[in-house]
Amino acid sequence: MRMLNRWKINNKMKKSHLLLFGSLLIFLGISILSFNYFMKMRDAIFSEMKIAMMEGDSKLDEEIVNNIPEVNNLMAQPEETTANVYKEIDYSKYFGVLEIPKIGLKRGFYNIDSKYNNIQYNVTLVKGSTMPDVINGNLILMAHSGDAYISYFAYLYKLVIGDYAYITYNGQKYTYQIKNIYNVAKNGIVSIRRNYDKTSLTLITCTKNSDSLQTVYIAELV
Amino acid sequence: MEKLYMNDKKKKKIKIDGTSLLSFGVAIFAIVSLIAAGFNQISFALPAVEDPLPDNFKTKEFSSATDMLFSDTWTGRQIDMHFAIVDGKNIPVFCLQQSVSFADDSQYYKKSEEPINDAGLLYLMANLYPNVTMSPSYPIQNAQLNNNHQIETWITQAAIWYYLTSTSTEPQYNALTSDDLNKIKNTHAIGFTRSVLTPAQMTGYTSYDHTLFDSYTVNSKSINKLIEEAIAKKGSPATEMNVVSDENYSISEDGKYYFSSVINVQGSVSDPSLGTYKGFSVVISNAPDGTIITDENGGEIKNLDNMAPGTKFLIRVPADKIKEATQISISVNGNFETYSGNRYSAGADTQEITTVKLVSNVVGTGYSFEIAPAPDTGITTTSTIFFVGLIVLVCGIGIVYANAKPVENQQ
Repeated sequence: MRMLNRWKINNKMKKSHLLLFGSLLIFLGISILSFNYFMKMRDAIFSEMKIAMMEGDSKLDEEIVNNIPEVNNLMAQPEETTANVYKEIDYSKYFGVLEIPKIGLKRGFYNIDSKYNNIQYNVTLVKGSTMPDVINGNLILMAHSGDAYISYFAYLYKLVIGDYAYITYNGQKYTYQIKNIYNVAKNGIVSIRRNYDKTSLTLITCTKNSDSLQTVYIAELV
Repeated sequence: MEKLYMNDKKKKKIKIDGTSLLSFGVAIFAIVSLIAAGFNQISFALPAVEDPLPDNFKTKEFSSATDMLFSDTWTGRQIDMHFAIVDGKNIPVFCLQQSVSFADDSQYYKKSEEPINDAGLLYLMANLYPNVTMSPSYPIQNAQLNNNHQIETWITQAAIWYYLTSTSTEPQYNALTSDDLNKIKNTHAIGFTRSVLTPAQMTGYTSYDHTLFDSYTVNSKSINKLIEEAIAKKGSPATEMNVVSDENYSISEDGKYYFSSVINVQGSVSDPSLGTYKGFSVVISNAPDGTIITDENGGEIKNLDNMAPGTKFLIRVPADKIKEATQISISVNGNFETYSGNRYSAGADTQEITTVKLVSNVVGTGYSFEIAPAPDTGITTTSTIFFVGLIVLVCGIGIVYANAKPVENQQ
């Protein structure tokens, strides 16, 4: 009888441990399943914050520019004005913003030298790109497609020729229209077929439902 | 018997000799016929390449002592010949504007470095005097009308004015009225100084019905036909260079190099009589270190200055050198030997003149392509994460369910 009671007690303890372990597994399973969703939400919130900060900085620059003293009053002003102060680049802030309303994409990208300019974290600015204010230049952006929270170009496949994309940079909003879409083999380099007499935007990502191709979207400044 | 035998031998010998002679004769005849036929074939055998006209030269106007005149439609119009004097030589030049005077004994200067690129005008002038010889279509026994440079000059000049009036939209080149054009086309007769002959009086000119444009031919083609063909060529380029490639890149098996797709350089001349395309040269710029040009088998092409027409090539780029987006430029220069010429002027209110010569010239074209490094932009880890999460969840549910079941009391 005593042994039976002991067995019953041991059994109860074992069961409670297992129940606890099972609950932990359930909690872990739910966390893993919702990981991507929460990361996307977090990412979206941070992105909006950074875009707002970038836009705020642009307005601040405009105010500063308006306060430049006139030449005649130069001697009465302090030597260093806000406009004369060299503005260092903050690599932790967005350098520009890519917006494609058709697919609901609005995402910032970092300066080329920023540690966040990495395809594992963000829409990536490719080295050798030029910004929209460079005439006949080419701004090249890459990002993952697929189903992860960093797949910012997941819905790029919905774009067609004639769709619009916008780049906000240095307080200016530039409008681009897609002129060409083509696939290339995924082998480490991409050939960019564009009109060298036009200021261009190039978007690169993996082709939907393909492991061996990448899709290149060429847009021209309008 | 011997005698017979000997006779047979002799007979055989004669026979053999006769056959040989006959065969030899036929062969000679065939060769001569071939050569003779070859001379009569219409061919575009081009003359030797010359130096182009210099940037400036003095002019000379020549009026023949015999002073050939036109009778009939454009009575009294004197045929003059105009020359550019270059290195002591008289080079025939032609007027582009019928209504403006030619400046004799004057210094003419090149109007622009850009040569004439009107394929129709080039075609016309390349196929007329002095570049080709005209032949009378109809028997002309008067020696003065045969191989007469003044007549050929007039025909060439008239053809140029006719062409320009028919095709040019610039008023200085199409001043001729339709009446003038008719007169040009329908000029029948040639006369001589102070004795303008009627067609019936012209010795050796057998038919009154044929105009000058019909009476002379170039390579068996009437001048009218030549002008028609020139008008049809108006607007097309005399020479053309194109670079064709589908701009795809592949990677070598060892992963060390990227190869472009085949690049095909195409050069052409709009008409064989205008000249020939000799090949091209290639210069590559702004390429990463170690970039070379190879043939279709991957062998490096070292001589890029003199590539034969039709040569195809690839560009090979070291994979480890592509660190950023790069625009690589290729300059291709086509080497041609074509008829070419510039416009010359002696200043305002003077005639614009030109001539064309077979010269070596270069026609360039460019080709650019941009490449960028592109890491793998595909990602499907979410599916994996989702699967793992599902398994963990199911295991947890299973464990909870198994241990939460009430145990039946056994008595």
